[in-house]
Amino acid sequence: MSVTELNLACCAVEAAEGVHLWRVKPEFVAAALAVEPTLHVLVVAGTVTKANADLVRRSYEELPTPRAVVAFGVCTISGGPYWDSYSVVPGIADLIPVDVMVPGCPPQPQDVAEALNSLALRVNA
Amino acid sequence: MILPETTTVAADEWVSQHRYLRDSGLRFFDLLVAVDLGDQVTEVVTHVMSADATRRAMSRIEVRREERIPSLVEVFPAAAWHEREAHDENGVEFAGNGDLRVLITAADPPPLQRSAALEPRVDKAWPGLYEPGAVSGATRRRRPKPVPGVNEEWINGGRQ
Amino acid sequence: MTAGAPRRRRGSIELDAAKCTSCMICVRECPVWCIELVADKTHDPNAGPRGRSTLELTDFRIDYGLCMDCGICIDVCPTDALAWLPVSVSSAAAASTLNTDLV
Repeated sequence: MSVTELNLACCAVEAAEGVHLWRVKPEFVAAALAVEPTLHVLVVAGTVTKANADLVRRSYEELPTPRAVVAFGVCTISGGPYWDSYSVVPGIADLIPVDVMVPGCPPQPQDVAEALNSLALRVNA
Repeated sequence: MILPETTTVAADEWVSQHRYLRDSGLRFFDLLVAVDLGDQVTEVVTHVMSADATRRAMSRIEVRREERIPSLVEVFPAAAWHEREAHDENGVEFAGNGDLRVLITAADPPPLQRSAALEPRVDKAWPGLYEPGAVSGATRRRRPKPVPGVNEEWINGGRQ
Repeated sequence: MTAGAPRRRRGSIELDAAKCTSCMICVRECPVWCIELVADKTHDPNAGPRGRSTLELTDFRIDYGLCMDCGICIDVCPTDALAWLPVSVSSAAAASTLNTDLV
């Protein structure tokens, strides 16, 4: 599995820590190594503004297949605190297909590690 | 950091006030922000300071929706960008700033004016309008007080 | 619960339905409008001279896909029916499944 982080706002702190946890913890590594062929995962963390929407869409389109998307934090899921803002996308599901949504403001780093692990287990099953 | 005292300035003294501040050594133009106070009045605040940040000053002016305030560009060239932003987001008109091109958003009305409807709030039914135990379709006895900052005209729908 | 997480960590929100009076204060104060509450009214005409009405909470939904963990609902609750739970909300494949009924 290869993971690309798209860190757009404050959730970046937890997302980066979580991806790191997933890379080093033995209980996650075994499942990740068994994924064949390589699954390319895009972790989108933070508020997606309308100005950034195209960047998010292109980041997904340029991922090799097979691919999957993890939406980290409520901003990427629904807009979160900025759900009523004129400048924020109310959820990236409008832009790209999302496989796992990790709720929280912010979620714990452990949560994204478990989300990535659940993707690996789903492919291996 | 303690905020410096804020001086309220009239429109015809807005430029001379800033020229005085600049000439007395406050040569760094830190910021210019606009806030919609409601009732068609927008507050514009500037903050300038000395290069070593030991002396600072804030100035404020109130501008009505149809009025213009003089631009500070001739005193502080750095004000141009801030004025462009305030024009873009709050619709403040600056007389003498020749470059008020759209910076971020071309929304009409400008999005940070309180009269600009937040569309998701208008589109979504406010769950607070529901009255527990009310018979379906019955007239509500009283309208609950909506959340501060939310225009009551936007409130709609809700479960009956 | 994540090992070593503080006891008061803002993971999810817990509802004690027995304490809830369906007063709607949390629903109306929520800045992101993510709480929905439904209560049934039952009227007992034999209790007291004019009868007595009671509200029974049937649905209390928090959309965890929108909730920003601000805790205003917990602070404003007059009967302390809401509290922090140091447990993360489970991930989901669709935003609609994050809308959770706490009753």
